[in-house]
Amino acid sequence: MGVGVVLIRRAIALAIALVVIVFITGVIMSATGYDTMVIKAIIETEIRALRQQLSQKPGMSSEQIEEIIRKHKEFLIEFYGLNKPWYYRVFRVVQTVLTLKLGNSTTEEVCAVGGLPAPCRVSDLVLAVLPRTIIMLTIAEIICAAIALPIGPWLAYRRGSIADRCAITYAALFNAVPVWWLAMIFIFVLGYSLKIAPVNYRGIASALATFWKDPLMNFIQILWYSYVPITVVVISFLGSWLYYTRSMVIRIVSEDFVWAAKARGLPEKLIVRRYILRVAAPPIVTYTILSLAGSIGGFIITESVFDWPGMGTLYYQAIFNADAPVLVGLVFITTLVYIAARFVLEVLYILLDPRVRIS
Amino acid sequence: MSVTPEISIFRELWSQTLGKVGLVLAVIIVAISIAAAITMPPDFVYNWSQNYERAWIEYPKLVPPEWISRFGVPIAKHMIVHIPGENYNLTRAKYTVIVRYETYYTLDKPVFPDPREGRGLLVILRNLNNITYKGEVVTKPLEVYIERPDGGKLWLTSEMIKFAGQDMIVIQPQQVLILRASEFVNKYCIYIAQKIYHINISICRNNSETIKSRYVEAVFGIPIIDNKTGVMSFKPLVGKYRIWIQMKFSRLSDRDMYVLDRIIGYGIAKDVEFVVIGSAYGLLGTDLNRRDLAQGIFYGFPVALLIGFFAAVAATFIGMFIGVMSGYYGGKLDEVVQRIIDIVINVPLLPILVLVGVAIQTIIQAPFWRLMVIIGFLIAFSWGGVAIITRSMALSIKAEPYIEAAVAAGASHRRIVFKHVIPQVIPYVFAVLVFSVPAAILTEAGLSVLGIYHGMPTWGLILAEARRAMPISLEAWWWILPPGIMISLTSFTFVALGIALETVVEPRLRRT
Repeated sequence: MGVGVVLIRRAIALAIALVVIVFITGVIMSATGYDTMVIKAIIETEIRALRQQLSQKPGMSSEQIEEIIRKHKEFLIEFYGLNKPWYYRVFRVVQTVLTLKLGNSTTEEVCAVGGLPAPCRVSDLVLAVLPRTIIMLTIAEIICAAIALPIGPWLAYRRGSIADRCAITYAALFNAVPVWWLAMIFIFVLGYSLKIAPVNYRGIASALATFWKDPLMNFIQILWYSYVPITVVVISFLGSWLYYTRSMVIRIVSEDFVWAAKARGLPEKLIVRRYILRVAAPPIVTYTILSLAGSIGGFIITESVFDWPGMGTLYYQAIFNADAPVLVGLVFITTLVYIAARFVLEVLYILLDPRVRIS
Repeated sequence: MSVTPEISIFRELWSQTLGKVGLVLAVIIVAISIAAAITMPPDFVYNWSQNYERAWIEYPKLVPPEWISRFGVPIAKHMIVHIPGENYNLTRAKYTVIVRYETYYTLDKPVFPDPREGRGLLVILRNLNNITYKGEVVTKPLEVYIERPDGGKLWLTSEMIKFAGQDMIVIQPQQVLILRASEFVNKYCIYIAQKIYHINISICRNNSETIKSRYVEAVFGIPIIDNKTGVMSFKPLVGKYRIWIQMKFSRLSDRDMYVLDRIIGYGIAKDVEFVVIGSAYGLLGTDLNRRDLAQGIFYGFPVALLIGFFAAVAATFIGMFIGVMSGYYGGKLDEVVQRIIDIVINVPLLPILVLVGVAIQTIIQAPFWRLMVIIGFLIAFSWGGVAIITRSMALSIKAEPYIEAAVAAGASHRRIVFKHVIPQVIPYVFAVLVFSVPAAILTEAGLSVLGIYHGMPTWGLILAEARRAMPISLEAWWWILPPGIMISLTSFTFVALGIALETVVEPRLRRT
C-alpha cells in the first residue's frame, strides 16, 4: 500500500468517527427525553406570556383568546419538532450540522455568552467565543510548551539530580491538584483578599471585541483579565509537560543505538540532535499538537470557575439550556479540530519517521 | 519474577521516595475509607443531601473550626448537652410544683455566640411524653430562662408544648421576637438593664429595635448606652451562664396533678438537649447549611475511592481486554475495534459527561444510581488509551517464538492469551490503572463543581456548594481548602504510585 492510500483510508476512518460522535451527542440529548422537557418548559413560558398579552387587549372574547393560544401552541410544537419522535429531531440536527449549516440558537442565555441578542447564528457565536478561549488556554499551552520543550530534555540529561527530583515531585503534585480548585484559590487570594486581580472576568469580551479601537489600552485590559487564568493553567499543566518530555527523552537516551553512538566517540551535540531528538520528536510533537487542539474546545470547569466567556462556558450554557443546535455544533467543531490534528499528525509521522515512509 | 512478583514490585516501589510516599498515603487513605464505610450512619446520605434543614439544626452556620482558638482567635464554644428525661429537678412550693431541667454554659472569651444567625441557644426535646387527660392531648407552657454571670435572670420565651409523643420539638427562644417582642424587651429592660446596670428604663425601651436585632448580644452581653446619642450597644459578658427550662403545675388543679404524675419517671421528653450555638465548631467548621464539614470530608473518603477505583479498574481492564483481543486475533475484529477506538478517543469527554449528568437529573432520582450512570459513561469513553497500548504490545508478543511454540504444542487461543499474553501486559496496565484513579476522582469532582448533583456526599460536592455560595464562601477558607486538599492528596497518592510504578515496569526510566 502506498502512503497516499494509507492516508486516505485514515481520513475516511476519522471522518466516520466524527459523524458517529456528533450522532451520539444528539442521541444522548434526545433519547433521555431531556431536550423535550426543556423545550416544553420553553413553550409553556411563551404561552403564558402570550396569554398575559392577550388578556390585556380589550374586545377579545375568551374563546378567541383560547383559539389564538391553541394555534400558537401548535405552531411552537411543530417549530421545535415535538410532534415528531426523538430520532427525527436528532437526525435533523445532525444532518444540518454535517452539511456545515450550523443553524441558530434561540436561547437567550446561550447567545449572551457571545454577547449576541437572542436568535443568533451558531457560527457567529463560536467566532465570538473562540478567541477568548485561545487567549486563555491555547496561550497557556504554548507557554507550557515553550518552557517544557527545552527544559524536559535538559532534565532527562540530569536524571536523579535535585532539579530533576523537584520537577518530578512538582509534576506529581500538580497532576493531582484540580486546575479549577487552584483557580478558586487564586481568585480568592489575588482577587478578593489582595485585590490585585479581577474577580469578574466577563470584561475580557469587550476588550477583545473592540480591540482595534484602542489597541494599547485594550491590550493592557486583556493582560489584566488573562494573567491569572493563564498563570493558573500554566502552573497546573507544566508538570505534565515536563514529565512527559523528560521521560520520552530518557527512554531514548538509554537505547542501545545511543550507547553505540557514544562508544563510537561521536560528539555529544551530534548525538543529541541526530540520535535523540530525532527519535523523541514524534511523540513530543504528538503531545504538543493534541494539547493545542484540545485547548480549543475549552475547559468547561475551569472556564466556569473564572466565569470566562469562552468555549467551555458556551458548552455549559448549551447543555443546561438543552440548546441542541449549539451543543451539537460545538461537539462537531471541537471534534473536527481534534480529528484534523490527529490527521496532521499522521502526515507528520510520515515526514518525521523514515521507517513509515519506506514501508 | 517467577517467585512472588508482587513482593518484588512492592520492594521496588518502596525503594523510591515517591513510591514510599504513595504507599504510606495509600494505606492511610484505604484505612480511613474502610473506617468511614463501616461507621457511616445509614441515614447519613439522606441527612447530608436532602434532610439538611432538619438534621443539622443544632449546629452553627458557616463557622470556622474550633482549633483556631489555639492561634489566638477568640471563640465562643459550641455546647450540646443531653439530659435524660428522668433527670429533672422538682421544686415544691405551697401551691405549685415546678419541673425543671438545667445546664451551665461558660463563655471563656469576650465573643458573642452564633455570629451568623443570632439564634444563640436552642432547646430540643426528643420523644415527647404522650399524655391525654379525659380524652384530650395535654398542652402545657414551657418557659426558658437564663441566669447570667452578673446575676441577672432573664425570661427568654414560653412555648406551648403538646404531649403527643412527637419525635422532636425544637424550641428556638429567639422566635419570641416574632410574637412577643415587646414583652421580651420589657423584661430585658427591667431585669437586666435597669436592675443590674442602672440604665434608665425609658432610654432602654427607646432601644427596643437594637435589642431585637441584636438578640444574642443582648442575652450574652453587657448593655452600654452611648451618653451622647443614647444608642445601646453590647459588650460580651464572660462567665458562667445557667440555662434552664421549666414547667409549672398547680397543686389546686386535678389536671395538672394528673399530668405531673405522668411526667414523674419519664420526664417531659425522653431526651432534653440544650444547645448554645458557638462561633466555631469541631474539626473543620460548618457550611452554610450548618453541616459539619469534618463529617462530610470523612464520609467522602469511601465515595472518592469507590469512584476512583471503580472507574479506573473497569476502564483499564476493559481497555486491556479489548486491546489484547484485537492485537492477538487481528483481522476483521481488529479493524472493527480500531474504528471504535477512533470514536472513543476523539469524543470530547467532559462535555458529554456534563450532558449525561444534566440529562439524568430528570430521569433518575436515587443518588447512588445517578453516580453509577456518570461513572458508567466515564468508563465507556476512557478505555481507548489502554486499548491502543495493549494492542501494540499484543502484536509484538504474538510474533515471539514461544507463542509459535505454544501453538505448535496445541495450546488453545484462550490459553495463550491468558497464560502468555496478558501476564506480560499486566505490569503496564497497572501503571496506567494507577494513573487513571486520580483522573476519575478529578473528573467526578469537576462535574460536581459544574452543578451535576448526584447527591452522594463527595468532596467535589462540598466544593461545588462552596462555589455556589460565593462570594460569602470566600471568607470561609475552611469550606474551600479542606475538600480541595483531600482531592489533591488522594490524587497525589495515586500519581506518586503511578510514577514509581512506571519506573518499575519501564526499566529504561530507572536511574543508572
